[in-house]
Amino acid sequence: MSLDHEAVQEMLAARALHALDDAERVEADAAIAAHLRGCDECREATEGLEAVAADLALVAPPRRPPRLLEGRLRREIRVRGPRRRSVPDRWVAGVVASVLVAAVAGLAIWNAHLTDRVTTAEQRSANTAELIATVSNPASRTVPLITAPAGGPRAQVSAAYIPGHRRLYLFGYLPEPSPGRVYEVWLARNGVYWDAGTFLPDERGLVFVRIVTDPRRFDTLLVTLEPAGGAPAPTGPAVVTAQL
Amino acid sequence: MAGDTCDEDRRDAELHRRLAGSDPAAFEELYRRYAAPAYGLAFRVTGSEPLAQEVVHDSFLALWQAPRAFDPARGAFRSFFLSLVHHRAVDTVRREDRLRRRTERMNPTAGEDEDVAEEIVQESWLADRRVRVKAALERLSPEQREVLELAYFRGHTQARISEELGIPLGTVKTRTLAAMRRMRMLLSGADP
Ligand SMILES: [Zn+2]
Repeated sequence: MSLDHEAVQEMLAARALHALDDAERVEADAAIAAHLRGCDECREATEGLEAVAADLALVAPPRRPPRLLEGRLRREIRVRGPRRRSVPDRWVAGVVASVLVAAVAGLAIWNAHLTDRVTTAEQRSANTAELIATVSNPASRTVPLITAPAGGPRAQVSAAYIPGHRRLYLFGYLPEPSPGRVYEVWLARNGVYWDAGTFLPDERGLVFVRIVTDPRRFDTLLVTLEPAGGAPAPTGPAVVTAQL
Repeated sequence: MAGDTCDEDRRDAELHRRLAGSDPAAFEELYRRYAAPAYGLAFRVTGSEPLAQEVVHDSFLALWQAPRAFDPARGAFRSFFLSLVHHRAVDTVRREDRLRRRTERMNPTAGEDEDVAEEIVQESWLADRRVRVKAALERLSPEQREVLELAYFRGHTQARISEELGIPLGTVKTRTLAAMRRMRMLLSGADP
């Protein structure tokens, strides 16, 4: 992907104004992430363009919201406490950071693959950008998966998604399965299982899986160990699982 | 005027630090500081009080639940938070548009609500900056102002702007970037 500075900055401007739809934004993020890595000029321009967009917010005449809203929020923050999600921030941030560092260093870390084996460098950086954009979105949900005995002591996987977006990410660490076996992802609703693909972690145990679906359609997420090639229905031991 | 923007940014940074430690008093103060600009922005984009309330409610709740989404190393809290509000407002208005387009065919006279003068408040510390931003907007060409207006305040995608104005998408993109650059120059103090 070799875009010139103008094309990248046009994307940055559109992005800062939120003038892209979801699909365009994902695409732009990937292209921008790939370009910014090697371009100080555009990195600097990013700040300027975002600052202009933020200033535009001030042009709208300020307006006092109804008092009720403040009372409602005040009650809600007391009930909910700070964030419900139970994965420690630092852990999520740590995994994302290690993934990012590896991707930036150009290591072939995304060899987790789903059905097709598209893991070119562009695809990897797109994945990274998407995952970071997802977990850093305040609306995102991060669900820690419960590790079953078959997962072993090192297994630690989370699922992340933004409600309303058709993307579900699994990321974290899993041990290398024994030879001839793979991990398989299942999504279930009311006890009916859909096969969401097979994957292997990379040599350091890092897992990144992207599933194109609306996670709200399902109540359960399950990863099992299956024979290479996958199984038509979950047969092997559960490794990690979560209620969505 | 209550202090310059830098002092206010420092105050925000301090409040955000306390928010990350789940301090409800910090949340309440941030609400007092940003509810009016946030609601004004959400109302301008959505054109509807109930939708603007939903946007502001969700934005503040997201801030409380995930304060670390803001990284102080990446700029001012004000920019982060108003950008979050804007993003939600744009998403909301696009969602509503999809719904409305279906109903408009049956009921083509959708009313607009305007004139809210009595509800408008002026908080002094942002007022100064607001004047400068408005002055900068005035100095853009009408074509440049138009693409910013449609994108930022109407929540239209660039593809839709191209359709509406009957100009190529490439022109929308270059014009938008040119408008943003000129705003940047005008606002950073350098002479045009
Ligand atoms: Zn560049």
